[in-house]
Amino acid sequence: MNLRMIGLVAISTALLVTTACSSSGGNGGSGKKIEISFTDVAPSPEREKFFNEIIAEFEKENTNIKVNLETVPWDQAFAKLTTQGQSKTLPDVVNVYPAWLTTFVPAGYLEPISTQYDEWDKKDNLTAFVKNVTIEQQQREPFKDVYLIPDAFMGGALFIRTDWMKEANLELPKTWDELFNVAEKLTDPSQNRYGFSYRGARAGFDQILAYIFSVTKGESYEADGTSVLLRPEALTAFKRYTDIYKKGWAPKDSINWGYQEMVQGFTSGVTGILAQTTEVVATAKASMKDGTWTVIPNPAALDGNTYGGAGASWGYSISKNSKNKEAAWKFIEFLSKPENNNKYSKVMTMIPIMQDSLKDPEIGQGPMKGFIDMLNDPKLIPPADYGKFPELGEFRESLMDAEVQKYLLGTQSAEDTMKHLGDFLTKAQQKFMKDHPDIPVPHAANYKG
Amino acid sequence: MSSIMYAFQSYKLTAPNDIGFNGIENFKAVLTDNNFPLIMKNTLIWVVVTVGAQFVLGLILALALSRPFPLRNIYQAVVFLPWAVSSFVIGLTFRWLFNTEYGPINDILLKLGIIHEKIYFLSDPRMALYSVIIAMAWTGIPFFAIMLLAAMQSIPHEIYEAAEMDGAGMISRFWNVTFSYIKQTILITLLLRTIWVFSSAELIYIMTTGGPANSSNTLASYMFMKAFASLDYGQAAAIGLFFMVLLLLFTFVYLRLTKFEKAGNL
Repeated sequence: MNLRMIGLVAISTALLVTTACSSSGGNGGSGKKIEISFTDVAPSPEREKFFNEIIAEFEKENTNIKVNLETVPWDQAFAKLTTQGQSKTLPDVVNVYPAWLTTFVPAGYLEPISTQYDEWDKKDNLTAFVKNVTIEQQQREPFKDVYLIPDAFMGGALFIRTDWMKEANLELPKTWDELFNVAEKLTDPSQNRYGFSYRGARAGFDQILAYIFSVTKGESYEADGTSVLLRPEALTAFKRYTDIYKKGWAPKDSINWGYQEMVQGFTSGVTGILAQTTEVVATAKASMKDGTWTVIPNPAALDGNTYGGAGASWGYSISKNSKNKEAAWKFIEFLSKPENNNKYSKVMTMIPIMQDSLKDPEIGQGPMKGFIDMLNDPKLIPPADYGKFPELGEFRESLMDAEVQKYLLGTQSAEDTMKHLGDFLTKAQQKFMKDHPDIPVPHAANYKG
Repeated sequence: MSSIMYAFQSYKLTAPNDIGFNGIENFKAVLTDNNFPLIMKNTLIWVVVTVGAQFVLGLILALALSRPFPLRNIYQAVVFLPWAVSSFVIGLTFRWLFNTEYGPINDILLKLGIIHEKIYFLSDPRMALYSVIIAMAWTGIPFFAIMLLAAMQSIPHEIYEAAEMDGAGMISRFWNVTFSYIKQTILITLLLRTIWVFSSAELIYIMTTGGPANSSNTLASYMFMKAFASLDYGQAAAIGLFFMVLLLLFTFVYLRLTKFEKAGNL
C-alpha cells in the first residue's frame, strides 16, 4: 500500500514537473516561430470556425508567427481574465468587453496601443461612431490612451411580432408611450401571449436604465457624482417600466429571465416584443416564420432623441505581460482589415467597424437595416455609462437585479429600491472622483456633433 | 491558511491596487448585510430538508433493494445513476424541467389535471429554494442508499431467523435488528451529507443564481457569488471562515448528542 502510494506520488510529481517545463519553454527562442495566444470570450462553433480560418490566413501571410486560439465561456470570462491579469498570465491578444476596461486599465493588465492606433493606415476608414465614441470618448478621454480596437457593433433594437400587431390592428411603436401601449394590447394570457420579453435577472436592470435615460437625457450622474437614479423623474420612469411586469404584460416567470429565456420567449411565441441586440437576428431567422416578425429602432424619448443603441460587442487588446507585442498588433490589424471585419460581421450578424462596410448590400438589408438605420440616425445619443469605479462588478453581479426583484415581488418599495441603487452608485462614483480627479464624470455624447 | 489571511484583507480582484489589511471590516460587512438573516434561514431549510429527504428516501430505497428480486442488479445500477451525473448537467436539466413557459413538468401536471394554474418553480420566491432542494435531494438519494444497503447486507442472516423464531414482527425486526446494526452508518452518513449539502452551491448557482431577490441563496452560494461574481475574495473568505466555525460547532454538538463513539456497541 505504502509503496504504491509512493509510486503514485512520484509519478504525479514527475508529470507536474514535465508539464511545467513544457509550458514555460513554449515561447520559442531565436530563429524559432513566434507563438502568440489569443483568447475569445464568447465561444461558439461559428466563431471558432471563423477564427480558425482567419488564423490560417494570417499564418500564411506571416510565416514566422503562430497563433494559438484559446476560448473561455462568456459567463466565466470576466472572472478568468481578471485572475489571469492578476497572475500576469493573460494571453497576448485578448477579447475584452468595453466595460471591463474600468477594471483592467487601472490594474495595469493591458498595453496602451495609442501609437499603433494613431499610425494605423485604416484609421480614417473607421465609422464616426467608432472613432469618436468608442476610441476617443470611451477610451482616450477617461484612460488617456487607447486600449482596444472594437470587433464590431451590437446595436440594441426592438424585435416585434408583426403578425400579432396586424391581428390587434396596431401600428409599430415609435415612442416609449406607444411601446408600453402595444405591450399591454398584445397581452392575452388566455392564449399564453404576453406583450413583452421582460428581463428580470442577469443584467435586467440595464433594460430599465435604457428607459430611465429617456428622462435623464442619457446622463447617469449629476456633475458632483450623484446618481441620477435619485432624481424624482427617474423614480417615475422606474415604476412605469417595471409596470410591464407588475401589470402582467410579461410572463410571471420572467422575473427569473436572462438573455437566453427572453430570446426563447420571443422565438417560441410567448412574447410579442423583445429588446435585444443584433446577434438575435440569426436565431429569429432560424426559428420563426418569415413575415411574422421584424426589427425596428429603439423608441424615441419625449425630446425626439433616441438614447441608447450601440456599443462595441468586444474589442481586441494586447496584454501588458505579452512578450510579443509587435506580433500581437499585427494580428489585431489583420483581424480588423475591412474584408476580414466584414466577414466577421456577417457571420455574427453584427455591424462592421469600417465606413465602406456599411455600403455592402449583404449587410445593409433585411432585419439588419433596423440596426443600421438607428446607427445612422442623427438623433441617436449614446448614453453615459455607470462609471469607471471598481465596485461596478459588485453592483452589476449581486446588487442591481436583486434590489429590483424585491420591488417586483412587493417586498420593498420602489422608493427604497431606487435609493439603495442610487446611494451605492453615488458613493462609489464620488469616491472614484476623489481618487481620480482627472477622469471626467460619465456623460452622454452626440457623436455626430 | 491563505483564505484566513484574505478574510482580514480588502481583497477585491476588481480593485487590485487597494488590496491590504482591513481588520474585521469583511466580517462586519457580511454580518450587517441586509440579506444575511434570510440567507441563514435559507441555509437551515436547505440542509434540514435536503438531508432529511435524502435520508428517508435513501433508506426506503435501500430496504427495497435489500431483498432479492428478479433483475435486481440492473435495477440497482439504474437507481444509482444520479450519483454519477455532474451537478452542472443536473442543474441545467432541472432548470429546463422546471421552466414555467416551456418546461415539461408544468405541461404534464396541467394536462393530467393535477394543477389548473402554472407553477412558478424557479421564479416564485416561496418555491425557488424548494425547487432546487428537489433537484439536490434527487442527486443524493443513491449515496444514502449505497451506504445503508452495504451496512444492511453485512447483517448476518441468522439474527433475522432467530428474531423471527422469537416471534418478532416486521417493525420489531427492523427496529431491533436492522436499525441497531446500521445505526453507526446512519450517523456517519448523516454527518457527511450535512457537511456536503451545507457547502454545496453549484445547483443553486446554475438553477436560480440565488434569486429571485436572494430567496434561494444559502451561505455557500452567497460565498460562491462573492468570490466568483463580485470577485471580492476578502468577503468570501470571511464567509468561509464563519462557515468553517459553524460546521466545527455542528460536528462537535452532533457527535456529543448522538454519543457517536458508543453507537456501534450493541
